[in-house]
Amino acid sequence: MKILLVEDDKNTSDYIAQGLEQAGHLVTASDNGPDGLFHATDGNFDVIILDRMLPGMDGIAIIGAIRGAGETVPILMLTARAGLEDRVDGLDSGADDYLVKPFAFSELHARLNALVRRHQPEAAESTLSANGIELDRLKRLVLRGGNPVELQPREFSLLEELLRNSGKVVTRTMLLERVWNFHFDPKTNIVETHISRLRSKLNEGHAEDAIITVRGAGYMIAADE
Amino acid sequence: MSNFPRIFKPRSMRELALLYSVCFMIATAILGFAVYSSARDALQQQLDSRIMAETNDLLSVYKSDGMTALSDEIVRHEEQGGITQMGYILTDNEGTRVAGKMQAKTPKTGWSIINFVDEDEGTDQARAYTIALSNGGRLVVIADQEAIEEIGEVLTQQFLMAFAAIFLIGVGGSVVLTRLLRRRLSGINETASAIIGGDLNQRISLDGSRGEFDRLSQTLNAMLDRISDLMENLRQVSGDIAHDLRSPLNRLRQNLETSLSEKLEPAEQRSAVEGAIVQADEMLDMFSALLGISEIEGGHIKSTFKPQRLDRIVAEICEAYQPAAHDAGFDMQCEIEPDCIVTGNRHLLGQMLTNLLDNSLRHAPEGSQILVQITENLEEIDLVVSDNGPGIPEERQQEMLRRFARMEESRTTSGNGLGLSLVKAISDVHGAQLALSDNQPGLKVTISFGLKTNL
Repeated sequence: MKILLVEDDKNTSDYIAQGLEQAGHLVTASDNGPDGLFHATDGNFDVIILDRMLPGMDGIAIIGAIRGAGETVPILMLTARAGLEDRVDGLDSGADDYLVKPFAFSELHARLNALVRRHQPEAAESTLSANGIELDRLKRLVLRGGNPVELQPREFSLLEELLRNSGKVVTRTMLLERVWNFHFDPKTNIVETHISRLRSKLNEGHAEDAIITVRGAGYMIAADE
Repeated sequence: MSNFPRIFKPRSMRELALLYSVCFMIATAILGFAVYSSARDALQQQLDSRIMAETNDLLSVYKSDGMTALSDEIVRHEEQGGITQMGYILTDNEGTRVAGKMQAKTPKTGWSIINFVDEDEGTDQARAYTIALSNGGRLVVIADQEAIEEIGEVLTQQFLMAFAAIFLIGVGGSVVLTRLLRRRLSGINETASAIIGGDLNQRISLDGSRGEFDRLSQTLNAMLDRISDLMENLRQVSGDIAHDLRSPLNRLRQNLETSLSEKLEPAEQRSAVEGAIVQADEMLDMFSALLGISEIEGGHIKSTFKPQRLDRIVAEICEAYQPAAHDAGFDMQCEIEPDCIVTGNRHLLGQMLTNLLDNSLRHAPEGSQILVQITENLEEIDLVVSDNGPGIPEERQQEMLRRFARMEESRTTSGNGLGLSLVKAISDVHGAQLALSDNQPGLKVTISFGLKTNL
């Protein structure tokens, strides 16, 4: 995908651009607000990564200008502080997601994938399926290989999140935010426990593991071929 | 205060004492003037009534015996002499003088001040009462004002002497007062200088009188105690940051060094680098936690506060934690009263509870019981998290709320010692009371949201 990166810190910018290019994306980097805004309104990008603090122009002002120009491109905001106020400001101003610096590259990548996926119109379908697992949102039904699987409500949401991003890694932090609405990091392995319960329910009677654990990054359900 | 002229803001003892003396002298001058003028008035009145009595005496002579008898009476009075001697003028209807030696013109009727020629002193002033007689003549009774003037002079003299004495006492007093105050303040000054010089343990000596100076000294001593606590805390925190950073930095360095070794298999090299990232993340976490605490203590977050269903927040977290707690061998129970509303930030309240649960799960041994409760009464909503683990001895409970405080002095176990500090900061910003107590055995943490302050 085509990604616009607006970040004034050279090290961070290079680190992100290099990683994304290695993952096969096309990156346009910009180191200041006005220039970033100029590129953003080209309308040529799948996703924009925008730093909250930029010389020349505040990140929030840039989002306002992009949205004001009628652009709906998904925007991921990078903030330096873990401040709750910053998060609220950022999301209120029209950013689609945020990430607090410093972050692991895998986290950024997973979030970009999810953002772009969410942005596609077919995401509103009532059933999700991947790798032989089917989930019906309206009937609250889960089938694997045609057999029903009984899930707790939280496990259902967890599976829904994984299926929506099938073929892509979903990180622990993303799951905490989307499934539990926890915007902080519990030290107890609550995600791991819920995943392990979900996994054992899905795997009952199946040889192949339904959920792939990507070490140091997160979890994934393989996409259909 | 800033609108006052400078004179009302004395900058030194001397100015204060001088200001006081000047005020005192002004008061004395006002008093002196009042005494002087009332004495004069009283004497004047006395003089007037003497003149009036004399006039009435003479008038009664005139009425009963006529003009000639009056003239004789005046001559007789003049011959008597004495200190209370008065002067007289008696004229007929054409203005010709009939009797009276007073060398002055006949004034108009009624009270007046006249000039007359005294044989000893020359021209002088006198008080006169003139009355028209029925035959067209005039009778004037005159009294010298000299006595009043003399008394006035004496009063003025005495007053000036008193004023001079007060001035001297004032100036002398201000010097003495200045010395006394300086001596009193020098104790405080010396202590402060010693502290500036580096001896933080110095305190101002007290005399136990509970007077102003003693109370000032006590307040200053209390302030010094507080400062020294803060400095001790700062010293401890910066020492702890340095210590807590050194160990992961050291491990980070070791990992990086290992990864450089050429003898390593690629997998081993990878694991060394991964180890290094874990160390770096540990340090970053610590800084995030520190920044988070500072931000919460800053209080700006209060602008996001809204009424929140505490029971729902707690129920969600309990639901999220129970499987993990169960798998780790804990018995975790939640007893939640419905419809508990507190004003606050949902995420912070959630983080507070997760920190407490993380603590219990980390420090209590496997098989322990963990109980989360919300109870509501008329005055407060209590959120209680208790376990039956090792707990915290009572004498160390307050200490554990400080940053980097840990039970093990060696500081080698995992955790950064910031969890409870964050809980405390969140509780404080919500106006709640945080209490640690003994669960016999174990730790019981109670967070009380006052309903009066919260709704």
